Amino acid sequence: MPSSNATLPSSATSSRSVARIADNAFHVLGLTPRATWPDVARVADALLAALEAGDPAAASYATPLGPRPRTAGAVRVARARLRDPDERIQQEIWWEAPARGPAAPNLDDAAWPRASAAWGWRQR
Amino acid sequence: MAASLGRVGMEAAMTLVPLMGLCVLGCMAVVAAPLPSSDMIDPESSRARSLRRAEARLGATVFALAVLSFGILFALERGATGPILPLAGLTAVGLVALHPWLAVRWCIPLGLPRLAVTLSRLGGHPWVRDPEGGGVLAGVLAQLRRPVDPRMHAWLSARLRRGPLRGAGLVAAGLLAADGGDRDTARALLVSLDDLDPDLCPPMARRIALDWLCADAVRDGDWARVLSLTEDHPALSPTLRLMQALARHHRGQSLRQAPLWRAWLRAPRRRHTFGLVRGAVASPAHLCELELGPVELADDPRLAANDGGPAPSEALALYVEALVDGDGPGAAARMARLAESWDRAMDDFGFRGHVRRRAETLRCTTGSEKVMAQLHRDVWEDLAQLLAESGVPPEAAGGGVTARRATQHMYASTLEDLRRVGATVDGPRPAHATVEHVVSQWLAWLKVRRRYEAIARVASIDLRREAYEIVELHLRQLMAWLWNDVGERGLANAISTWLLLEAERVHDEASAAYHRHNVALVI
Repeated sequence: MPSSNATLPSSATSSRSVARIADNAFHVLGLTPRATWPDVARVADALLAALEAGDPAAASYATPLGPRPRTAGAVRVARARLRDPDERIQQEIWWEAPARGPAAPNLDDAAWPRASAAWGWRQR
Repeated sequence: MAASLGRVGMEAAMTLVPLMGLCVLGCMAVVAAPLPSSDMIDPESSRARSLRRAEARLGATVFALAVLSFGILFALERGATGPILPLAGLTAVGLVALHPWLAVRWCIPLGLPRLAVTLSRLGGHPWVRDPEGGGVLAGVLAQLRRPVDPRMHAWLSARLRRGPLRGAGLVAAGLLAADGGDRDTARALLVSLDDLDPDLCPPMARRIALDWLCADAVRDGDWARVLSLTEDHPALSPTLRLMQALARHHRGQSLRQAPLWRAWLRAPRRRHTFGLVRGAVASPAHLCELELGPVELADDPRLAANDGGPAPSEALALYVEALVDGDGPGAAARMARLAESWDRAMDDFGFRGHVRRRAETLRCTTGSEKVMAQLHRDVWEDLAQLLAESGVPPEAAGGGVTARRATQHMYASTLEDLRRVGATVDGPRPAHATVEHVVSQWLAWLKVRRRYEAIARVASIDLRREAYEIVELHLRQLMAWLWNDVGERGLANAISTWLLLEAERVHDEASAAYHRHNVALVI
């Protein structure tokens, strides 16, 4: 599973293009294209059980665009996609997208949530 | 007896001289007041109305001070000092009634929104150009000094319903949206202040909008935005000067600490901003080291974009790079490389063979050629969207198959998208609309304009003309409704002005003539 510190800037682009990488069924399930259908079904069931139990380890998954929250709906959609061979082959191609190397500077370090105080205003 | 009469005559002469002098000075003040001749502007225009309001208050102020002076001199002449204090008190009350800002400016830091609104309704500086909106804005500013209060929020929103929406009213609506947690709407409304005619926008409202936008950018740590907001501004407040100095420090434009600390010393609320300045000195954002993600060996080799590798590794790497970097520097070259890389991948025999074998293994219902066709369609559709969103003209993406199809798709999809977004301003238009309705229509217009401008950045002149015809159809009706039915002439004028500029750019003479006529109408 690739790991990345890459984060999308605010100017980052369309949700459809992002979803093609970030919602890739193999990423959602934490599998590689070598996984067979029984592997897919087994992992999907285990993830659904873990999510239902509130297991924090199952709450997110790594993608080339950074970690994403994992939901039961996303797991079900991923399983359905990998069940369909025509859809699976597309997922296999897009799974190869590599993680972006250097991360963008973390703007959070320079952010100041209490900025309004400089003008005497309350937060929010 | 004669001596006593002479003394009284001399004293009378001594008091009359300063009295006459004061009258002369008062007349000179009125004459020297920098008011343009009223016959140079339309008497029905907003500017004329603002000037008349300002002139009336100036005259009343001079009169009140003259009465005070005359009263004091008269009392002194009679040897009585008792009436002086009541007279001075009465004059002070009169001056506050004429210039309520003298009292309102204290209501704001004390957190007294109701009193601020009530007093501000008396008009005067600084809301001469928008008395109704200015009153509410003063109340909202006072409310921002208090804890969150939904009832007060609702009360202030209700006060905004009076009168047409102008500069101060727009800022008040924006700050109320921010107070309700909707920062995106607040940002859109405050930025749209620049579209209004300057005669409809009190300078104080502009300063408050700039303050909030800067605070918003600082909150996000977006120092580039802070710089773009404050650069070239003629009169920054000490707080904005501090934020500008911090932005320069974070961006690496000024590494000296002395100007930063000087700006901090000059700004108010130093206790609150000390941590921010200390943090900037300790770790400016431009010195933050880029963290490289650990390279992990997966089942298949993963190669960086610059390393090439078997198809479609390079294309996929460039795809991720285009997603992450968006419209950052070098977007055009990035898109061109991406399109060319996909051209190579789609023609690569090795990749096509791999897909064919994999399709056979998986027992796909469609052949490998259809798999490749589907992949290529996904790629050019995504590339079209990436081009539009990053503001790269399609021609810059090259002349390959992928780039050409992306261009065709972009033209078709963006116009369709514009039609869909343009239809959002066609909502119900009642004859008696609330301010919420007007604000929502104004926001819808801003959204249409943003979408249009995104297309215009990359479109050819023909596509731009086609896009203009789409938005003009919707916006012309919105403008007519704002002008005729709701009386929001300032907002209608802003839309018409923008349409006029665009009509001239796309050489739509008929439309330009129509909007030129509208823009010339008195607001």
